[in-house]
Amino acid sequence: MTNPVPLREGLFRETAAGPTLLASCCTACGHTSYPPAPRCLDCGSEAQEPVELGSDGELLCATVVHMGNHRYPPGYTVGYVTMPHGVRVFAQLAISAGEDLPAPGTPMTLEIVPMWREQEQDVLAYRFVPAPGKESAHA
Amino acid sequence: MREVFVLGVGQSDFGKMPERSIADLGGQAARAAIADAGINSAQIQAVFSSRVYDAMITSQTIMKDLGVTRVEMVNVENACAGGSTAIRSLYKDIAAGFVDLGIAIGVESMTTSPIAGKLIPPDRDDLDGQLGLSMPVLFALQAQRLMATHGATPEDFAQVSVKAHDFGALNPRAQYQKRFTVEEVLASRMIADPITLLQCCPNTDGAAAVVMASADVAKKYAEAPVRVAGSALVSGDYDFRRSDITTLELGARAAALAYEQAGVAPSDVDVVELHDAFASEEIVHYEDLGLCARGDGVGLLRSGATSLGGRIPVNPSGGLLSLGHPLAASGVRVVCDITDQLRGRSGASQVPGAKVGLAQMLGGAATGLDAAAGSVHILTV
Ligand SMILES: [Zn+2]
Repeated sequence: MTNPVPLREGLFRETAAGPTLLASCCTACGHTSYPPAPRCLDCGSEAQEPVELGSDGELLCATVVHMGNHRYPPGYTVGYVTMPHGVRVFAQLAISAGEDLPAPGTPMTLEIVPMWREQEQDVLAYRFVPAPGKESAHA
Repeated sequence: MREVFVLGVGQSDFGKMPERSIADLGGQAARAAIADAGINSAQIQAVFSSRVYDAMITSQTIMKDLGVTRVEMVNVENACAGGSTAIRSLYKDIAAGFVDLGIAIGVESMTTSPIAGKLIPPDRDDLDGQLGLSMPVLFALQAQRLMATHGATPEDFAQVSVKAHDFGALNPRAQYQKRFTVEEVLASRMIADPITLLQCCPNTDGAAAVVMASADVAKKYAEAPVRVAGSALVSGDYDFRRSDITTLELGARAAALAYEQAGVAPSDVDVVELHDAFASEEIVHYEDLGLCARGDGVGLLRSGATSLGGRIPVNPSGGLLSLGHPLAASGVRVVCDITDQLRGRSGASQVPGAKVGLAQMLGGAATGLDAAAGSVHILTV
C-alpha cells in the first residue's frame, strides 16, 4: 500500500471543518485567485494572503459527458460551481448514472476523493456533491 | 502601413484521408492558391504555415515540393486559430513592407493525430483538463447556460446544425454534403448534454492556403483584388473578468479591433464565416460579433437572418459542422470562403452582391482563460 498523492500540491486540504479549496486573496485589491497565485491576476500585486474557500458552493451549470477518456469512463458529470468570493470552479459532480442533472442554483459541497490511479497510486482531487438541504455560503 | 490584398485562395480535399501526408494536403491547397493568384511560385517571398498536431517545419515540408526554398518560412501554432495566425503574420509582414508577396497555409491531419477519434482535450498538464474538461464539455456547459439565461432550447442548437448542413449540401467541398432535420440532429448520439453528435464538427483532414500581396503586386495580377480591410488577433483574458460564460470576450474584442480598422460597422457585413465546432457556440458568436444585440442571439437565429437568403448569412460554406474541422486549416479556410463570396464565386451558396465579409476563428482552452486565441479578418471589394 502506498499513500495517495494529490493531483497537485496547494489546491485543497482536509480540515477539522471539512475539505476546503485553497486560494489566495490580494491584500492590495481584494481579488481572490483560484488556484492560488503568487502574484495577483487582477492587479499584479505580490501581497497575497492564503485563504480557504471552504466546501460550500452553488451550481452554475452541469453536463453529462457521454464519451470517456483515458481517465474517466463515459457518463461522468461535470459542472461549474460558484464558490465564496465569486470564484468559478470547474469540477466533476458526484451524480449517479440515471439521476437527473441538478438544477442551476443547487447548493453543492466539496469532497476530496481518489479520481484515478497512476503508477499504482491513487490520485486525489476534488469534486462536488449536491447538498440540497444546505444553505449556500455564497448566497 | 501598406494595404494588403488577397490574390489567390486554394483548398485541398476535406475528409478522412490518413494515407495523405502533410506535404500532400498542404501542397494541394498551396498549388491551388498559387494558380488562383496567377503567380509563379518562385515569386513567393515568405511562407507562414500552421499545424497543431505533431508540427515541425510545416512550411518547408510543403514548399520544397513546389520549388520554393531559401526564403523566410515561419511555422506557427495557436490551436484552432493557428491558420488565422499565419494569415495575420503574413498580413503584418506585407503591411510593414518586409515582403510584397507571400503565402499562408493551414494544414492538419486529424486522422493521424494523437487525438484521432477522441474529444479534443486541453494541454495535458491543464488542471481543468485533468478534471475532465474537453472542448465539447466547455461548449456544452456554455449551452446549458444559454438555456438558463437566453431561453435557448435544444431545438435551437439543432437548428444551427440544420442550417450548416443546408449550406453544406450546396458545397461540393463539404465532407458531409447532406441535409438533416432538427429531429435527426436531436436523435443522434448524445456527446455532452445538450450537444449531440450532429452538433459537433467531424474529425477531418485538410488544408487551405491564401496568397497575399501588397497593392503594387496585386494590381498586376487582378483588376479588383479583395482587400484585407481589417485584421486582428488577440489572446484570451482571465475568466473571472467575464460576468458569464455566455460570451467569449476575446472574440468580441478581436471583432471590435477589426471593425475599427476596416471602418465598417457590423450592419455593413454581408457574409460571415465563423468557428462553429459545436452548434450552440454560433449563437454566442452572433452576439460577440455584434450581428445582434447582446441577449438576442437566439432571436437572430430564429429569424432566419443567418440562413441562406437571410440578411446576414453565417457559414454559407457549411461551416465546420459540415465541412469538418482540420484545426489549423480552418482559420485559413474561412478567409478562402469569404474571398470566394466577395468574388461572386460561391455557386449555389453565393450571397448576392456581397461586398464586405468577415472571417472569424477562435481556438484553445486553458484553465482560467475564456479561450486562448481569437482572430477576425474583414475583407472588402
Ligand atoms: Zn490585486
